[in-house]
Amino acid sequence: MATLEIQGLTKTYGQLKALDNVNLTVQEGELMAVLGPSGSGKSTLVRSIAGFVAPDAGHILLGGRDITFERPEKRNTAMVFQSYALWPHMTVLQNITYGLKLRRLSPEEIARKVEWALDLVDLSGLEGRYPRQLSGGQQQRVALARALVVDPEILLLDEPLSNLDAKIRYRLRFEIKKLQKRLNITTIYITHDQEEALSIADSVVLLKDGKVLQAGRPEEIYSNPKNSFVAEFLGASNVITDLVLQDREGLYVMLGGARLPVPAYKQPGEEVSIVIRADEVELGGEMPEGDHEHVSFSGKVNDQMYLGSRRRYEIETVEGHSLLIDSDRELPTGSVIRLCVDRDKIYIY
Amino acid sequence: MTGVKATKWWRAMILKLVIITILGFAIFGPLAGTLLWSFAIKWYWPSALPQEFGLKYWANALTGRSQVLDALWLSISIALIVVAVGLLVSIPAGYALARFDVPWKKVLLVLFLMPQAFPQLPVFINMSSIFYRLNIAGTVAGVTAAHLVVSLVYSVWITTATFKSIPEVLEDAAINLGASRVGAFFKITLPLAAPGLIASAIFVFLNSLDEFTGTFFVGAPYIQTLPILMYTASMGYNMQAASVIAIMLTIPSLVFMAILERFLKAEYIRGLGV
Amino acid sequence: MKTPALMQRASLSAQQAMRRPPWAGGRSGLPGMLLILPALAMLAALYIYPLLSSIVMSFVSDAGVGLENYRKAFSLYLIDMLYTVGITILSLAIVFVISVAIAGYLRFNRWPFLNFVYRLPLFIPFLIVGHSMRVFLAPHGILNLILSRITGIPELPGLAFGWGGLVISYVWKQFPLATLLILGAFQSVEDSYIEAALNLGSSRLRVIREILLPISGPTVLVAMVLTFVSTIGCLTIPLLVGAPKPVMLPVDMSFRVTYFNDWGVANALGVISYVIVIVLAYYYLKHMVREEGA
Repeated sequence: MATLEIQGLTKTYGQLKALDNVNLTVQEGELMAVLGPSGSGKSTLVRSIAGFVAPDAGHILLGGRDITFERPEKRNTAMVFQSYALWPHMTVLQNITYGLKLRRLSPEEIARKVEWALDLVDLSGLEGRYPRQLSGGQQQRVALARALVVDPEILLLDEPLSNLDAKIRYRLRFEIKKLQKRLNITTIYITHDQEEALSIADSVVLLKDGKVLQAGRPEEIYSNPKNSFVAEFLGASNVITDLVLQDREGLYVMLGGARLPVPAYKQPGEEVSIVIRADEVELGGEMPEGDHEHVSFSGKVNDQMYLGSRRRYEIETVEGHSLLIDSDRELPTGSVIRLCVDRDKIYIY
Repeated sequence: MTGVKATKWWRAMILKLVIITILGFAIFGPLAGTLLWSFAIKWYWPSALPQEFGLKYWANALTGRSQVLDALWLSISIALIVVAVGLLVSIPAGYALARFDVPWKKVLLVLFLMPQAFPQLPVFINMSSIFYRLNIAGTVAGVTAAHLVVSLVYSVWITTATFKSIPEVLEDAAINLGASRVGAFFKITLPLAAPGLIASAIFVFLNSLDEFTGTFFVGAPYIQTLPILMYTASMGYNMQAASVIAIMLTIPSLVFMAILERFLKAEYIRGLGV
Repeated sequence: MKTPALMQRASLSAQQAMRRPPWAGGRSGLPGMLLILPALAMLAALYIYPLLSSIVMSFVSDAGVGLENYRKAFSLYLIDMLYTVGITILSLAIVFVISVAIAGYLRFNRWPFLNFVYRLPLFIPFLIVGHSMRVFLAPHGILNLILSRITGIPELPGLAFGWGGLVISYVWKQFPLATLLILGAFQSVEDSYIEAALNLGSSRLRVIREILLPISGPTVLVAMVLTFVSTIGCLTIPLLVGAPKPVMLPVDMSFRVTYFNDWGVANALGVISYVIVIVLAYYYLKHMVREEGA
C-alpha cells in the first residue's frame, strides 16, 4: 500500500494531447475514480502508471519511489483490464498463481495466498475451470483475484465493469468497494460512468482532453461542478445557452419568464450556459410567497415518455428553450405548467 | 534519470548494430557471393575480391543462340502453361470449396495440401516410371504435369481462401437484381477475387520456374530448364555460369516479392487457414 | 486482424447457404463436386496414383512380393536414416529458436529493417540456396575468406560438404516461413494478455514462453511440421552441399534410381521417409496436446 503522486504528467500522440500536465495525489488506502468521456486520456493515465505508456514529461511516484521510466514488470502495480485478459490457456488456478510464481514464493505460501484470494472473491471450487467456462462476472472476479494476490502497492482498475450486465454491475460495484476498504489498498478506478464513479469513490477526478477539469470528494464535485461540462457529465440533462442581458439591477438571463441573475464576471451579450438537472425540478404547483430560496418559471408540456417509476417530460419555455424534466406526476401533453427549482440547483456558467 | 535513459539507449543502439551486422551478413553474405561470382572472370584464393571483373559470363549466357536463353524460354513457357492450366482447374475447385456444400470438404482440402505436407521425391520417382511407360517422360508435357502437381496446392488453397473472403451477399444482391448465377460469378465475384487469383498465379509461376526435382526425374536429360542447367553447372564447379543462372532465377522472385508484399502480410497467411 | 473476422463471416454465410432451398441458390454437393472434379482428377492421376504406386512397389522386388526391399534398405542405409533424422531435428530446433526469437522481438518492437530482411530467403529457391551456400561455405569460400582475414589463420576447414553446411543451408532457407507464420499468430494474441503478464512482473522472455507460445500453439505446430517435411524431403540442398558420406535419404533415393536403377529400394526408402514424417508429426502433436492440457 502506498501513496501515488502524479506530477505534471504529459503525453502527446502527434497532434493529440492525451495527457496535459496532470497532477494528482492518491492517498494510501484511497479509492480514486478517474472519470471522463472516451478519448479524455483516462486510459493513457492508467497505462502510464502501469508502465505501458512512456510519458513525455512529468513524474509518477509510488510510495515516494520514482517509477516514471521503470519497466512495467518492476513496478508492483496490479491492473484489472477491461477485457479481463485472463489467459485462455490457463485455468483459474494457473491464472491466479502466475504472479506468485514469478515472485518465487514457496509452494506452501503460494497455496495459502491462492486460497485467501479465491475466498476473497468467492470463487472457491472453480479453480480447475478455464476462463471460457466462466460467466462474465466470474471472469471479472478471477481478474481481481489475480491482481490482488500479488500484494500490489496499487490496484489499477480499467473500466472493470463495463463489459457486464447492468444487474451484475451494481452488485460487483459494492463488492469491489467493500473489498478495497477491507484490504485498505490504494486504488485507481477508471470509468466513463458517472454514477459508478460517484457511488464507489473516495475522490473523483474528471478528465477531459487530457486535462483535469475538477477533482474532489464525490459530494463536492456533484454539488459544485466547476463548469457546464462537469455539470453535464455528472448527470445534468439540460444545458441551455442564452445571451446575457443587462438592466439597472445587473446582469441576468430569462428562463420561463423568470429572471436569473448572472455572475458579475460575465459581459452583456456574452453567451452563458444554464445547467439544470432533470430530477431537481418540481413540476406544477405554486411557490409560497416570499420564498427566495426557489425560482419559479413556466413552460408548456411538449411531449412525454413513460419510464416506469416516473415520467420524462419535454418542457418548452417561452424563450424557446427545451428542458427534460423527470417527475412522478401525470400531466397532459400540451398543458402549460409552473416549474419550481432550488436556486442552488441552477448552475450558470 | 536522463543519465540512466541515455546509457540504456546506447546499449540498445550497440546491440542493434551488432544484430544488423550479423543478420545482414548471414542473410546477404551467401547471395552477395553468388552475385560476385557472376561478374568474376578470375577469382583465386585467397584474394578477397575477384582478380578480374567482367561481363563475359553474362554475355555468354544472354547473347546469340545460347543454351541459357533456350532454357529460359523453355522454363517460362512451361511456367505459363502451368499457370493457365492450374488456374483453369483451381478457380472452379476453389469456388466450390468456398461456397458449396461439398461432402468431405475437409478431407479434400487436406488432400490438396498433401503434395506440400509430405515428401515429394518418391512421388516424382514413381511419376517418372509411369511417364516412361506412357512415353511422355522427357517431354515438355511430362514436365508440365510434374509442375502442376506441386502448384495445385497453392492454386487451390489460395483461390479457396480468396473466394471465402468475398461476402456471399454481394452475389445475392446481383441475383436479386436479376443476374443469373453464372452472370453474378463473372461480373461480381471474379473481379473481386482478382488480387487473390493474381497472388495465386504468381506463386504458381515462381514455383514452376524454380522447380528442380520433378523436372530432373521426369524430364532429364532431354528437357533442359534453367534450374537443371544451373545444377549441372554448379556440380561441375562452373561457378560463374551457375551464378549467372542463379541470379537470373532470383530476380523474378525478388521482383514479385515486392509485388506480393501487399498480399504477404503475416496475418493474411494466417487467414489462409493453415 | 481483419481477415479472421471476414473468414468467420464467410463461414457463417456458407452455413446459411446450406439451408437454402434449391430455387434460391441452394448449393448442394453435386454441382460442387462437378466443379472440383477436374482438379481432383488431376491430383489423383498425378499425385495419388504415383504415391500409392510408391507404397505398393516398395514391397515388390526381384525376389517377389515381400519385405526384401526394406531389408536391403535398412542394411544399406541405416546410418543415413539416423543421420537424416538427426540433421532434420537439429535444423528444426534451430529454426524454432530463431523464428520464435524474431517473432517475439517483432511482437514487442517495431523494426522495419528486421521485418523486411528476415523474409528474403523465402523468395530464394532451394536450388539457389544450395548453390549459394556451396560458394559461401566451401573451404575456399567467401565465409572462410573473411574469417581467415579476421583471424589470421590461412587455412580453415570448410563448412560445406558436411553436416554443418547442411544445417546452415536448411535453417537459412526454412526459418523465414516459420517466422512469418509464428509472427502472424503472435500478432493475433491480444495486447492485454501480454500486458497482464508484464504487469504481474513477468519478463518479456517469460511472456513469449508462457503466454505467446502456448496461445499460438496450433500455428507453431503447423510451422514446425511444414519445416520438418520440406527439410527431410529436400533433394537439392544435400546434393549441392552435403558430404559424400553419410548422405540424406533423398540423395540415397535419387542415387538408387539413377545409378542402380533399383526402384524397389528407392520406394522402400520413400515409404520410410513417409513413416518418419508421420511418427514425428504424431509425437509432436501429442506433446502439444499434453502441454495444453496441463
